[in-house]
Amino acid sequence: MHRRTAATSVIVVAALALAGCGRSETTTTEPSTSVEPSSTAAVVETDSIEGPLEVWAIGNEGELLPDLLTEFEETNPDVDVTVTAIPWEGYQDKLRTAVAGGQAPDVSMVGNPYAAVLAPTGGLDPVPTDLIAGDDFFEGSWDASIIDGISYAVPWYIDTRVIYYRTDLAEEAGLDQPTSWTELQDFTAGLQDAGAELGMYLQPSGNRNSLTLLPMVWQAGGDLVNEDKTEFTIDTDAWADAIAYYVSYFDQEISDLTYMQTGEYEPRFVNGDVGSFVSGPFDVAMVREQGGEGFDDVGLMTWPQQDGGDGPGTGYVGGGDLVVFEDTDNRDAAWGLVQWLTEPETQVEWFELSGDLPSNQAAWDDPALADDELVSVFGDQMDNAQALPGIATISEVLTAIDLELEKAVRGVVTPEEAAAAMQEEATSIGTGA
Amino acid sequence: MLFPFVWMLVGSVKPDVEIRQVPATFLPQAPTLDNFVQLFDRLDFPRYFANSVIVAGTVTAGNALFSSMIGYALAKLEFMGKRLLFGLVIGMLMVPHVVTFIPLFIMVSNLGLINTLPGLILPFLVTPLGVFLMRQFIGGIPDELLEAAMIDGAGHVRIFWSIVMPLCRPALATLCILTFLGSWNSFLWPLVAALSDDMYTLPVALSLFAVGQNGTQYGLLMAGAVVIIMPVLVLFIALQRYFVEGIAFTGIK
Amino acid sequence: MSDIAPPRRRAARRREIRTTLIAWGFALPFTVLFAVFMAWPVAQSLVMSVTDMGIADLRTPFAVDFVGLDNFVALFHDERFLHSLTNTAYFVVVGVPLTIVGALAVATGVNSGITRLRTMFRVGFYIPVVTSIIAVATIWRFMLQPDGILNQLLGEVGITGPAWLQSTSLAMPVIIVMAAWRNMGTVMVIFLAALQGVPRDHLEAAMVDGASTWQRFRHITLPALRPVMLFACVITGVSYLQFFEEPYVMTQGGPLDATLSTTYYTFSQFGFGHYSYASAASYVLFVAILALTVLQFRLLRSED
Repeated sequence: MHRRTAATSVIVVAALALAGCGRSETTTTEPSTSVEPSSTAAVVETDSIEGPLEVWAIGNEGELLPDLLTEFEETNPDVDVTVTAIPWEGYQDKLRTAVAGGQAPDVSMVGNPYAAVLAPTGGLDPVPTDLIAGDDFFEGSWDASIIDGISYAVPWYIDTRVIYYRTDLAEEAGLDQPTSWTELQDFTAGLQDAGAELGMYLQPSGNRNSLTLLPMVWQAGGDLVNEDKTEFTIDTDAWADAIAYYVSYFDQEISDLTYMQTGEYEPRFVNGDVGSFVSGPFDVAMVREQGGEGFDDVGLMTWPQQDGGDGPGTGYVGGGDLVVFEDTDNRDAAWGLVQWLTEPETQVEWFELSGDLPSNQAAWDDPALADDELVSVFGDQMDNAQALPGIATISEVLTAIDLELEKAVRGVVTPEEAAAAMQEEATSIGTGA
Repeated sequence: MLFPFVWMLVGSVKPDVEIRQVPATFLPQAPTLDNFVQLFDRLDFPRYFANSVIVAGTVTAGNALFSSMIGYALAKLEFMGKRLLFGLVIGMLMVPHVVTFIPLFIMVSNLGLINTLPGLILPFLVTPLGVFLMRQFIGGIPDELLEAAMIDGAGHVRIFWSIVMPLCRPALATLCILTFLGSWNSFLWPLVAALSDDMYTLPVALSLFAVGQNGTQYGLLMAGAVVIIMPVLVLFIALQRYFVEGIAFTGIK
Repeated sequence: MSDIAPPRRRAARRREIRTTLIAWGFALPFTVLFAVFMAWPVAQSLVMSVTDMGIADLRTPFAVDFVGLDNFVALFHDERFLHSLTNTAYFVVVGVPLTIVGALAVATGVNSGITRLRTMFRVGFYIPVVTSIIAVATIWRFMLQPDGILNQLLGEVGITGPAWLQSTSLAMPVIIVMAAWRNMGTVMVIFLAALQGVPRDHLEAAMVDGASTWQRFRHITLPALRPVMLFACVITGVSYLQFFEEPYVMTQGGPLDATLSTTYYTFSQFGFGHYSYASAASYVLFVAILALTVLQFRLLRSED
């Protein structure tokens, strides 16, 4: 009795809502992930901007941004900027719901490459390329937000990953900086001989282990998609080689299946259980803090190339981008702010305030960055780094890769099978092109 | 049973470095109130606390009243449409919440209630769970009691207010605790329904300041969690004696 | 009889209408709020599940095409979705009885036991419920690390603890135990309230007649608890079928999808912008919840 009434009731109410649905003939017949920009690069006047401006920034950046903006407000007294800090957790849901309900702010920070994922909603305003030049920025970061030839975000800060290692253990084992894949593996095994339980912490599972694999794929000459982003190129030797290399660390027990989040591997690095790991700039401070006074046995090095050679192997670059929403009432001020935030001088100031590495290449010439010893390692890695391709389905594709990689690491499938499976899944997801 | 809670208490007075340490320590080696200081310093604590209290308090009071009202109607009155209504209530109870999020946001937005306290309160002012609970409990009140009152000339409103509600104290106390807890700890809706940080509630604010892109500040998180628990515990301790008011159903002389 | 029937029938009808009006008066606040904030969004999402709404339609949700049951068919060919259903079933079949029986045992114990410390016990069991899931998950993760406290303690008695959260077979039991631990308090509170309603004179009479504690429990207390038992089972079942937070913060659905719940899967599909697909998945879950609830009603219904 209850069951029937309950079910019927829900269906009755639902049927009432069915009226009025259907794609109108005037909308295009392109697949649903295609993008319709409202107006490509509307003319923006940033000389005398005014009016209120709503800005969202995430986490730490959200806390610190207001300090940076006092200068902006001095130079543009008629603009009234309000910064709202939003949490990292669930920020994607928050942005999506806001776009759905027409409640998005004027400007927001997003994690790279989320702009590409958000673009198909039509809720992002294309970047006015006469105002902000893509060439100023690291190529990969800029490209990551291009869909169908249109840019949807400007890189604000970048984040690249290098290898952290215990210098004392390396010294003890008499190890030199590795310059090839084989040498890297010997290096980490050597760290174990010198006392570390794990030669290297490689993420076995969980969110985005694929981002540790990708540099290896690039080092092996492969990539995620082809030139015009129409096809995935995962079922290739480069991928199979990279996956095999990744898995070999586990087979040789240089790494193990324990998944450690940020905050969990640093203490083990400090007490010598973990000999090395892959991470970004933020871990410099954290490792130093965890190690306390007198701990300076941490060294950084760039990725090696696959077959040996000078110069770093290709690394991964991510970071944070800035987007302007299509609904904005103050397009001029919004882009004006984005332009200001991505100028070299402001970028250096922001680095000094937050520690975020600049996305604008010119900013790296400034002594504040050029003269910093550890920052320079990241700078070296940036000489050869790639970002994720700008495809709208990138989140979903990476998740599929995460899972297959975990299977390979656990020995459930071979590297070739994993690559083939990744290709199959990625293709069924599509590039959204 | 309580070990995780104790660990949390202990952790709230440890600096992050010690919390993360391996091998783990139990008693704090260098206890510090720094986490709590940070909690009140960095967060606009009074504001978030006030928001949380207003939202959770109103939702709880609303539920207590409205759910009882309809619970009484469903349990004790015969009327047209009763089956349909109860069926809908039970039906809604079973729909996974996650699916209603975007439509709900659009609805609240169309009503102009995004980023307002009513926007945080209204969608949860009554819950199917509350209705179900009160209906079950009120259903257990012997009909004779109510009939006696009716013979004495009392109308339904009077019966509801003077007889049924007092008898329901254990159930009401339970409902209040459950509702308050759910509302107090809720994260996802306050996150999307607040556009500016003066509308954040405590769980959202805590996540903002403690959970970063690169790692969590555990000490701050624990301190925050300890503080957030307090009002609920206080409410629980205040209400839990009502659970033992045993006179409700014994002996209708 | 027949000559006095018409006025009596009319009076009866009037009373019936009056009662209906009063009843709807009582029900009105709920019904209005419910219709606006619950029924309507649910209706919209149900419609969403039979369309092809995707991320590009986010701002124009009505400009989509009706696709009938395509989404549902696709779901049943989706390995990960099916796997999540099995996981969810596992979780519910083990977790619900564990939680209910545990809570009942505790409530009975606390109710009749040590009077002085009763408050403390009640509060103590309720604390896991009130603690934020993030804090809880963080703590449990720390404890369950291969070199964490649990294994350290096991090591003291000579057992080498496994990597709890890394094992495809152990991860789910861990999650179940954690969920039961967390939710026992809620159900305990409900049972405590209900235990107050067990007729004390019946219990006393039974004691005089020489019935044992277990017999008294079984024949007097348990039947009296039936309506509440139904309620507790239904809400625990409904809640567990939608379990999400535990795998989300503890294991991210892993290892190898061992703890992937249907709600988690649905949530991530929403995240990828597959709105109609995710809606359809939610309604499959709804059917499961409906089925379980009906079953529970059948088994536990008392004669109200």
